[in-house]
Amino acid sequence: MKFDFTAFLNQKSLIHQSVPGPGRIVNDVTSRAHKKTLNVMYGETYDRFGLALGSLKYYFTVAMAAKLLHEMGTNVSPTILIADVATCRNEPEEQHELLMEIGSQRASILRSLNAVYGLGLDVLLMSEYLYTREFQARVTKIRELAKEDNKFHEWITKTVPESKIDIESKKDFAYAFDEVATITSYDIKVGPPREIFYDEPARMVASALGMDPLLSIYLYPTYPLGLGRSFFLNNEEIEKYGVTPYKAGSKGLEANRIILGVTGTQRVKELISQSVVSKNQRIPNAVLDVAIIAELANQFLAKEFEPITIREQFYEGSMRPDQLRDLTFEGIMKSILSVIPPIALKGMYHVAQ
Amino acid sequence: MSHNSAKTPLEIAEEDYQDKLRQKQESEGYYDNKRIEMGLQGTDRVAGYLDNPGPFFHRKIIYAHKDFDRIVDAIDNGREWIIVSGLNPSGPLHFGHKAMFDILLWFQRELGANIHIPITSDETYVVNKSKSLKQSRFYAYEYVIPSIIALGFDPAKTKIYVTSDYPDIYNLSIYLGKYVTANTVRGVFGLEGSTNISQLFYMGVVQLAEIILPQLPEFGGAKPTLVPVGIDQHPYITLSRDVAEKVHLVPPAELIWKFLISLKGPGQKMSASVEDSAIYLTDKLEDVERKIKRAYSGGSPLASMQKERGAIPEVCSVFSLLTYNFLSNEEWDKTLNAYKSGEMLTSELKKMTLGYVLDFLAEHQSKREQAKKLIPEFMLSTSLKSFLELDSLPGLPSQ
Repeated sequence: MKFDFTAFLNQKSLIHQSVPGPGRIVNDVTSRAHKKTLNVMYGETYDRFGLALGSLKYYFTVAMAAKLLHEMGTNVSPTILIADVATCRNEPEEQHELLMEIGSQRASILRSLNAVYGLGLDVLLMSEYLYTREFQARVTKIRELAKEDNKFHEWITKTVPESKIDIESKKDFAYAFDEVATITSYDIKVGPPREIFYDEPARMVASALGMDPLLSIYLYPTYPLGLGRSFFLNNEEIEKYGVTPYKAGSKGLEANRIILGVTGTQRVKELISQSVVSKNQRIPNAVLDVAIIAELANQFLAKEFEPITIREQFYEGSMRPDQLRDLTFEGIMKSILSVIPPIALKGMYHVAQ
Repeated sequence: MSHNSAKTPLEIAEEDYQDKLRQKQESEGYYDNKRIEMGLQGTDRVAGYLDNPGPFFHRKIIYAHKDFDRIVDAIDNGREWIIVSGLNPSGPLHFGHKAMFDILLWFQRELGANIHIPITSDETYVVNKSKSLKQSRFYAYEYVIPSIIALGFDPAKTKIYVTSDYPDIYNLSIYLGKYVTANTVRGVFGLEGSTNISQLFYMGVVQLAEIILPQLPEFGGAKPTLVPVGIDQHPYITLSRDVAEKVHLVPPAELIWKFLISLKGPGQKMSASVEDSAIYLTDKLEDVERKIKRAYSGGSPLASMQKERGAIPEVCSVFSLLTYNFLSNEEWDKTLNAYKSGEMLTSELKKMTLGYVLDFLAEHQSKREQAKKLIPEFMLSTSLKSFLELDSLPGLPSQ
């Protein structure tokens, strides 16, 4: 089977949903490619716990999308945006210096990952463009457009959990407006499903800003590892949205994540063996996500690309839960944990483990 | 001439249809209201977390729960858990009882449940469902226990006891009774001063002792316990939860199931105390045929109306019999749709049901005779000493 950009968008194992759908994305990409370089991006904040494995899924996906677009004869610029300023916003001021430093370190590990896996990703820090006149003018313009549009406000409100609406409202939803202003300048954005709350308002204002509407690729949510089905049964929000893939300490579950350079082999094994792995698709499958990340890593190392089908093999085929666990452990050891040089991860985490 | 005789068949059929719609709404409202009133949760979410939710969740027979997630947790983590579910032996079992035991069997076969089945001969006697303890014990050994065994329980995972033949349960009742006041019992069960003292003792402590029994050290100690019950039994569970917490044991979880509709129609359950409301597992085959022919249905007196509007399965005693006892989920979905859409008439439904019931009874009645020989394998004989010898039960750490 030919693995092209269309096949990439149709990978059921990797891609949860794409907006406005694979066919229209391919058409839009083709028509835009004649007139400009296509900007593909993924953006993330971070915390002090280190680089979560979940981030790698997005790095690999952006790199794979860019590679396949390039093979179509398209000029592509793939970017990983590290939102250092946004990360500081909800943290006490005395931690800002440290957090900004972690942002720079994250940029440097991305460069190391580029070298190890041949990803070809550009890295951009939010602090590098946030205070430019051009960007601030765009934010102002979007705020003006939003004033007249209730629907826009509805989406923006949904970007924050209900419990934090008051806090964000007092800050005039600064984070959400910066995020929307940032992503409007890109053609394709890769992110978790919850980011539709940013992407929809970005699409709404695109034509008024003279931009092409954003095309979105949503990957499956990331779930915490090492937990049984009753955990998800009792945590409906985590069941629905998972944890924030790029924040190792999301929902206070850092002990249940694989953090590069922090989580040892034995703990990785435990996390995989203690996670619920069921053929029942209703139950979150954290192990499957790790297996898919390991397979992405493996393809970049081998420089041989093909559609990922592990999800179908598990749910529709004969792969048993124990086989998935074995495949996952072997995969992550072979293609990730034994490949990334420890030196590259130095200084990535700043809490006692 | 009566008023009715002036009505046309179409008018009578229309009235019947409207009555059935009303009954359906009442029945659904009854269960929903009770669930909310008793602070129970619906089962859609927990059922979705079972790898195979089986017929009882799929058909919404089990419709509410409290703490079932504790059981899911225990299963998931390979920890011990147990089901307690019994009945009072006031005669042979009927299909309503069979459905309850099928639920237990499903848990045993699919999820590996250990099960305690107390046969409460004392309850039968104290609530005047038998004239003597001798009679209720006779029902227990002659009808109830052989039928239960014939249904296919695993002797290694199932323990049965007849309460009046297991007097240690009364010692445990005395021990636990210290944590229950007379006012609580009267309040929870709405009993009056004229209630006989044995009934008060049974309802107040013996039943809760049966529920708490598997958490004694003799049975491996504190563990999640699941009690599948009808909604009318909820007060027993409330009381048991309260006492379990007081003695630092795990408060029992409950699953609530809807009653199998009486052959006489919705609004009442299949019951041994109402004549011809039930089909017994000991019934003669010709009696079964008569009962099903006369059973209240969800169809219309006019075949043309039923073909046009379809039947109302929710109030149909015959469809209920099928739902609780027979068919794979796929066959059940198909039958439900056919009956509901008017494609299947009541006469066809009754014929189909009769076939299933007769086949089952022929096999069961033969197995029941053989099962009598297996009774000793299933009977619980563990002597209870822990609470007689220890200062307190080794349960969960004090809160």
